[in-house]
Amino acid sequence: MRGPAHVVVRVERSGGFAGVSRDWTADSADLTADQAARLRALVEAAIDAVGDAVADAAEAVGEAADAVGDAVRDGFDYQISAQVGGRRHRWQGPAADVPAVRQLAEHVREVAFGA
Amino acid sequence: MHHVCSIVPPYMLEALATQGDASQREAAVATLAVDNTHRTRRAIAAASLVGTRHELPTLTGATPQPHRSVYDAHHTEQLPGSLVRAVGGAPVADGAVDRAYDGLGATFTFYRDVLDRDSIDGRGLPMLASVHVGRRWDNAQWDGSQMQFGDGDGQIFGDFTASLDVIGHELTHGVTQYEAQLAYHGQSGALNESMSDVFGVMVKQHALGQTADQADWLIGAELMLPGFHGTALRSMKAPGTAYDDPRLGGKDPQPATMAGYLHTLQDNGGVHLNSGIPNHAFYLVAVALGGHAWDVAGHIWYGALTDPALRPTATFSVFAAATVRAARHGYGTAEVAAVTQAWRAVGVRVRGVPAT
Repeated sequence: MRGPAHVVVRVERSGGFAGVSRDWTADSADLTADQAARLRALVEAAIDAVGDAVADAAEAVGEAADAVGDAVRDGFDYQISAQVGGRRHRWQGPAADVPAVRQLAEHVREVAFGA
Repeated sequence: MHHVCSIVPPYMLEALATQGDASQREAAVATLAVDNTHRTRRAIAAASLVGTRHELPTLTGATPQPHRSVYDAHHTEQLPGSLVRAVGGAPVADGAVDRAYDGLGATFTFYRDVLDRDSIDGRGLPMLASVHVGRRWDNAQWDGSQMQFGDGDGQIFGDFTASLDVIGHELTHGVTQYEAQLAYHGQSGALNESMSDVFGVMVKQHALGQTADQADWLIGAELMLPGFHGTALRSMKAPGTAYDDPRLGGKDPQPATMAGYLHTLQDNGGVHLNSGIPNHAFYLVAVALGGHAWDVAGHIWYGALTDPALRPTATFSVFAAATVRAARHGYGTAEVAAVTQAWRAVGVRVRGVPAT
């Protein structure tokens, strides 16, 4: 039985120049203590940046994208879900425009690369 | 960071770059081009908001030259980074920088010599590119004012400056931004992507001096690393056949005809997927007419892209009609027939032309 600090983050990415869909998952149970702490910190930062509720998060990312990301062509489109203990959080949109969400997405990708 | 001292204040340079006469504009742009960046980017943004879809000046007198600057982002996302090669600068010991610089030049030359267009906006706008963007960033993109190139993930994708068609693709997003302004979603978004593939691949063919039947019609072939199961990211000759690699989700999903049109919420409604349909139509026209793709087919597509009647929400059918109009306007019955046949072959009805 895992404790409340257990975190699983799944990143699904589409678009980009290549136009291909790829996905990566990071599970704190599979990481070192330092890596798991880093993952939790990034999830908390993303929640702080765009809100706690699913709807708020999606809306906030969308608003940010509308504000500054409208002219981007070949940008990535993200769907990110984070399971933190018993709670689930979700973000979607061109998360590149919300730094905390993009950092989370990039970290999960880096973990998958074994960095 | 590189700064240029000027007795002309920045606000005046920006005003001249967007509102001056031809010689004033050229001088202001040249000054802005070697200056960094917030100023230049602001001027570019301002220029994108005024005078769009204007009638472009015919290139006369002195031959326009590319105002290009390449920056190194040093594997960060702080853009544009540090200036490493400016207008007229000598090559540096960094392949990505020099490929970007040369690619901007080749793209500028194609638009100037073939389509009589002076840079992105048709009025000599400086071209900015940043290389080494992000960590293992496997992408290239246009952000509305500059191009960005990553080094690739080192597993599937290499340096995104490796393919000249990729550089031409990104710069063409800027051209579309100043012309049809095709909305980046659904069919208009797929047209936006297709414009970039069409003109990007012609930039490469023009640089290589290839005719339509000599060209490979591949997009992104040179950036794929050894071990990749395929030839490129996209094939305009045979959409859906560029790769079959489990790391990219299996087989190339691009449709060649409307029978395979993909309805999806991802990728802004499949803009990089359904672009295979208009891509293939262009290929069919170019091959049917023979010679260089840019000789006739390229001019027809450019005529459609710059047609003031083409709206940002254009569908495939509406764009097809624009290409037929452009063929009628500039060429004869054989060219009109080739264009009409190509759209019919990919299953797109030309608006205003009865289906047979």
